[in-house]
Amino acid sequence: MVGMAVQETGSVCRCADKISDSAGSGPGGQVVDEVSGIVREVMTKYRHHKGMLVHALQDVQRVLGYLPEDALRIVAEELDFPFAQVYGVASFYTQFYFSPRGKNILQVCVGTACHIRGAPAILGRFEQELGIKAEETTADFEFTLGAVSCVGCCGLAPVVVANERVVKKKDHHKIITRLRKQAEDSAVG
Amino acid sequence: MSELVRLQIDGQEVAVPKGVTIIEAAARIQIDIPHLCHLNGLVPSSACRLCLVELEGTKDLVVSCARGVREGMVVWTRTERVLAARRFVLELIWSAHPGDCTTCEKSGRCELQKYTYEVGIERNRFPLRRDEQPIDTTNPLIERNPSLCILCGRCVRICRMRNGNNVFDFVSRGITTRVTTAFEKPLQESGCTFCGSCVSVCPVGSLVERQRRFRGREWELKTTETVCPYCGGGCKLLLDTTKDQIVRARTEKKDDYLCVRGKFGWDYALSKERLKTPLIKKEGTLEECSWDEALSSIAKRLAKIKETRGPEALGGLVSANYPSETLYLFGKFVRAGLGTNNLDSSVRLLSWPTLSGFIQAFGRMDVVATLSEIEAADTLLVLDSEVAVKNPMVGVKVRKALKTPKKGAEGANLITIDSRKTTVAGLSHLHLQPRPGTATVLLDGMIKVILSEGLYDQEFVAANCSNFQEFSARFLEMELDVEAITGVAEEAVLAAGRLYAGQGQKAVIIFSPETSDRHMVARIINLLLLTGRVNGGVFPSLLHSNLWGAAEVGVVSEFYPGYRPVEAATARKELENLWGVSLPSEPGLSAIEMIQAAAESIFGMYILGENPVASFPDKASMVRGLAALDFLVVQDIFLTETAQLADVVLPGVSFAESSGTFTNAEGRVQELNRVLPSQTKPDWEIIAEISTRMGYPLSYHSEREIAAELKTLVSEFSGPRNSAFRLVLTEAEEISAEPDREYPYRLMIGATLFGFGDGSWTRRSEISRLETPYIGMSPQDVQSLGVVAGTRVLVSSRRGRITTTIKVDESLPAGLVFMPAHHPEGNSLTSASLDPVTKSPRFELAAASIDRLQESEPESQCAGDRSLLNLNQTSGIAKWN
Repeated sequence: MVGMAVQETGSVCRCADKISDSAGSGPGGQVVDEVSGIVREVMTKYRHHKGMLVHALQDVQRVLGYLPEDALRIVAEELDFPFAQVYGVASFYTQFYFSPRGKNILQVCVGTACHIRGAPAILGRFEQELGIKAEETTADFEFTLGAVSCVGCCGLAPVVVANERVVKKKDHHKIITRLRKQAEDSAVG
Repeated sequence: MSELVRLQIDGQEVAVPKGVTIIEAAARIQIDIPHLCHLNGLVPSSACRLCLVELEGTKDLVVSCARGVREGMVVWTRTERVLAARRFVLELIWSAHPGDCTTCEKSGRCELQKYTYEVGIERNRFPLRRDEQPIDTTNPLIERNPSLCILCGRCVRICRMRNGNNVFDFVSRGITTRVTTAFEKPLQESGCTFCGSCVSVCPVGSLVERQRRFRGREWELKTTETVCPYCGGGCKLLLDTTKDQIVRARTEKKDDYLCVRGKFGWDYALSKERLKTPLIKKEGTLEECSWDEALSSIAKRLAKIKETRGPEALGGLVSANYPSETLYLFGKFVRAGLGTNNLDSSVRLLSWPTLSGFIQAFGRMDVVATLSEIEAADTLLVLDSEVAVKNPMVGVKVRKALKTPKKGAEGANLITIDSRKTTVAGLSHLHLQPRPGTATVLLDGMIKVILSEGLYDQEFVAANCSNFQEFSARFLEMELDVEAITGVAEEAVLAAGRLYAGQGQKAVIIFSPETSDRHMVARIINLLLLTGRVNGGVFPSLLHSNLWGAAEVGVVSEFYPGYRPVEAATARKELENLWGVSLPSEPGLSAIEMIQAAAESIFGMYILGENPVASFPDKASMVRGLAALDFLVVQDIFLTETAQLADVVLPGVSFAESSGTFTNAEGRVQELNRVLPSQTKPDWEIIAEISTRMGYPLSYHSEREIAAELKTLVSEFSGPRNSAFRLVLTEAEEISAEPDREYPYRLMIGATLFGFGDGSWTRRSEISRLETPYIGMSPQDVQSLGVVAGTRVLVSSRRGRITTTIKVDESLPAGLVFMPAHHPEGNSLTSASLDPVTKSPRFELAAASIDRLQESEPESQCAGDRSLLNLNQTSGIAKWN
């Protein structure tokens, strides 16, 4: 049921904070059971279809926001793959993550054109404002900051992408505050 | 024979079977094509590119480890172009190998070093492009240095393909690719069984034995071939040594298998706790003394008991972990020197129903299958599937059988009968899960299927089993509701019976003698007879190294060497002539009977290498019995729990300092060779000296002399096999205690990989650090008890109680709990009820209760319970209330 609810909201992850909270509860704990229920549900259509590993991983990540260890174990079991091999495949692709991601994904392009037009300074400011380094996630799981190489619109350099949308240059300094406010508003509403 | 393909390599003609690769064809004519990722027996991965060769008619160089031969191929392995490519490949590998050969343990055996030298590369052409990564030292046995890894993938493949274990894989990509575990967890959390196969096949220094670090360079090592001292698999062991230390155990070929005990478990022989001098009890305390004092005290005290109470007041007990020569001499000393048939060994506990049952049924033991017959079988019937733990080599062979194509099938059929979902059970085509303790009835069900459907070998039965008609009639008359008793569906039993009996198929039954009582053995024999599989149809997974040998050389009370019955006057005469004394005619007591008779009819005992306090059932009564003896001698390599009760303790030698022979579970006699100089005296010399001091001189100069005497007794007896057999009808008794409200669980005590026997060896080995004492419970039971892994609990049976730690074991069904046999106090919970015929303790599942230890209930209180049994040297005995 939780799985359904999460799917409706698309790529936004709802489980991340729950899972990270569950660190102490160990196997058999309630939260892990919840994750396992979600993953098993996703996997029903892939059961024993070895050729569908990457698709299955994508689906699981779409629902959970990342690929936790317990989820990968279930994928391995359902597809009859060695666990190490599933991890090996997943680790090959940059699209898969093994730790929880923030609700907002903020990406700063550090490609050549953006670099020349001041990307390092923007990245530095974001790092300072969020209190994290590039490729990290804030402790409240609100933001993940990424440094990417070229998003394909060098004419707009320096480019910042927030949740898959390019942020206007004049809004760069406001984007974090704006995203925070959005989160607060939706929590109140 | 398959069709031959002719090709030319470096101008030489060679003909090889179809399907062979170029590199293998070249090896047949002694052309070594350099290679790093290729290893015989593993599927090619073409990862290293070092084996490139020129193939006429092909534009590019080809990978010779993956390219199959074709008729008329012309291959060149040493052209300018090939050599340049080889050099370039090596230079690229070096650009990601921050190797320092001066301290690398592989130096001298390293394959990268060898080829680099051959090609003559003096300096790296390319800068080093890989960051150093931390060395993994999170486990005590295998050190992983990922920086040195050349990504050949041999470890990935041997673990996956041969061991079916999948610990490693390639992770990430490009320059950051590395071979590691899922989520980079430590090996012990990744399903690793620490067989060390990955270490053996690693061509560079990325995987090494931790025990080997900084203990000698490869070229300084001396290699001695010997036999693994642990289980009945009897694997050949090559021990590499410096002057007084073992540095490493390995196999002849890189890809041969050893388990964790064989590969890493030899270190107990070098333990600092080894006894070096005799100990004698003075005023309740064991003190060091001279050899002369110890030996004369033993001779005097044993002689005194013999004189005052008669020879039948003495007894000898020996472990079946000694070479046959030592065992034979011990038997001779007890029977001829001490003059009593109170002589027994661990054979009684670990395999007697099987060995005696087979001798009775077939006349000889060598009807059993060999390990290669397991591999070649069409059908395998595995009873008690932890064979992969008891004889790990059997597990490897079972896996191999499943993958070896047979006539009309891709691999062998595997039927498993086990209440637990073990690894082997997971591989089965048919897994029957009877209720714990009811496997015997399930076999009856299979026999019934074979009889009622006429699936038996009619020709064989008619010619060899005179009582077949009677047996069949009586068996079919019996009322037998298999499903009601075992909980296994009728169809499954039917399928198993039909599959096993398959005409014209080779089938092997694999079972565990230490858990099989005479009723189980009788059913196994019936199955063999009904299907006419009296040769190579069964494999008993013998738990210890020389159980077969011990029975054969006569260290069981009812048989002289060569299975000559003690009651037979002719046999006694023969032995009297050979040994030059008159021998007692009355039968002796068995192992447990002797200790139970302590202070009633037995007053003195000599125990060689056995540790009843830790390894016999019902610890409390064992302690009581041994402590009540007038005189106890224990000869062992450590001050075991039993040795602490002794009046005199003699230091023996380990397998590494012994020579002689072991007979493994296949019946193969193998030479044990001395690897290290003796730390004390060889065991047989000690026995001979005591016997001589007691007036029965045993004068031998070496084990070989003993072996020669033994040979006349054992080989002479090996007459023809029985040709007439009898099917046996016995009524199995339900002996396991039914769980009740007070004791709701059934407790199974069994083997694990990281322990062995009484644990006195493995506890002093690094391998024991991989497993702390525990009790395994099913996930359901864990949940209903409200505990988690790691919870401290109190385990009680009607016999005693101990504290231990919970481990979740998904292989267990609800209601069954499991404890390793080498658990330090596990035998406090078991009972020593003996089978009236075999005198072996019945393998029973004790009823047990498990309670969480309350926070308020300090552990010391329970430790207090334990200390009741803790052996206190001053008082000599703990009281049990």
